[in-house]
Amino acid sequence: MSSLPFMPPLTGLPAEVPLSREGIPSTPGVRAARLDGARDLECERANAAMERYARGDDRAFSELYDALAPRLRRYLLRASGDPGRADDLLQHTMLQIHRARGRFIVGAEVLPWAFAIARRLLIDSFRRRKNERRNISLETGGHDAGPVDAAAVQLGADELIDGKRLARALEVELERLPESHRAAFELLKNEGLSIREAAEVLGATPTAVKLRAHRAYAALRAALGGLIDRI
Amino acid sequence: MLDPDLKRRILAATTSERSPTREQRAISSALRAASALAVPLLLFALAGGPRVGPRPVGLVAMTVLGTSGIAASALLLAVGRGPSMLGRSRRRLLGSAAIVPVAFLIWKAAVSSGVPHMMDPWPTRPGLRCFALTALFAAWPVVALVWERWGSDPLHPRALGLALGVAAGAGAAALVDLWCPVAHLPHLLAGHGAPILLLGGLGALVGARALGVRVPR
Repeated sequence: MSSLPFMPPLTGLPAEVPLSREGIPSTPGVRAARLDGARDLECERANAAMERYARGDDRAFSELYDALAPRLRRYLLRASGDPGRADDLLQHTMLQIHRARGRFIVGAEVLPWAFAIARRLLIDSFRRRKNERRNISLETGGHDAGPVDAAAVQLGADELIDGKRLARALEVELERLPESHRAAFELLKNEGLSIREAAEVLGATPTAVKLRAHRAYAALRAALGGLIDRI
Repeated sequence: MLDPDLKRRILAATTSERSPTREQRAISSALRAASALAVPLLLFALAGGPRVGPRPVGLVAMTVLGTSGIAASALLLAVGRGPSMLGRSRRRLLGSAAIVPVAFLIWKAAVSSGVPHMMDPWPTRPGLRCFALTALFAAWPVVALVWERWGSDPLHPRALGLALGVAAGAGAAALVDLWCPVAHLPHLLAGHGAPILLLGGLGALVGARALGVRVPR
């Protein structure tokens, strides 16, 4: 496209916006806008299904599940790193939504609420597991596996190019961040929530979420260098 | 890719565990609200009801009007969730819990200070009875409010519990104001302010367990 400056844009986009082979705009901003549109539709679908479910239409739960479950499970899996646990927590999250259907406020958004429940259940399960481990450790006199050795993740840039190692390094660095910073980063970067939605999930102001995500990003950048931009 | 069996399991679980619809829940909420209002009023009537004492009727009316307004605002803020399913922000809940007891005492003292002798010391009334009555009148409303919001707050259940306790305490203290003529500051602090704080503390303690979202054991 850019080699034919006289040619009118095909899709109503500015002439300098490059198109992929399928005619999909490949500029990140345009892609993001399309993704936002799809996400908004998905949210609308979830809100409508929840509203019907709150009114008593039991069949709407299946639709609600289809709209929420993939995103929630992805979030839970990423945060817990354990597929079985992610499934369990997803089940508890959906059951929590089911139990609270009569409380659903007309016109409220279901997505931030669902993420907030999932996050709370995740924290609760981590806390419980930690306590269980501590009890086992006290009973057996053994030791828990300590935090990941810092030297083990001081990997060279060449090695980090390997996707798995990069993901592992990111995971380790994320683990080191304060929970509130990590959560803000993950909800914005990985789950694609808007700043307003992430702020609702975290019970913070949008400014605080921006600040936390920025601090998380800065910390990751300091630890991983330019590699963070590839994630 | 989601396991289709997981969806089947979750749908089966929702079928086996019934949950009230919005309409059904509105009825039970209304019953809870009515009982939260009726029980303290009944207890108040049993305790002797309003007592004007040496106070002018206008002062009683002014005092109760203001304290009821403060209590109603606290209740609306604590019980209501606004347009979001995630309820009020922590800052608002904590702010309400901090402001309500102070506003309550300031109002009572300010209104009483305009009438001669109303703030004189009453050595025989340290405030124990007012403390006990406020705690007694607030007991059922606190239970009803916690029941209403049981297991519903994934963000800040402790702050919500605190705000609910303070709101219920303020409501009960407004009722006690119809009965108690003493506006001496130490009495106000011990008999009217302290129980509100105590109920707030209890609410925060209970809230952490009862109002939060938790993984079932």
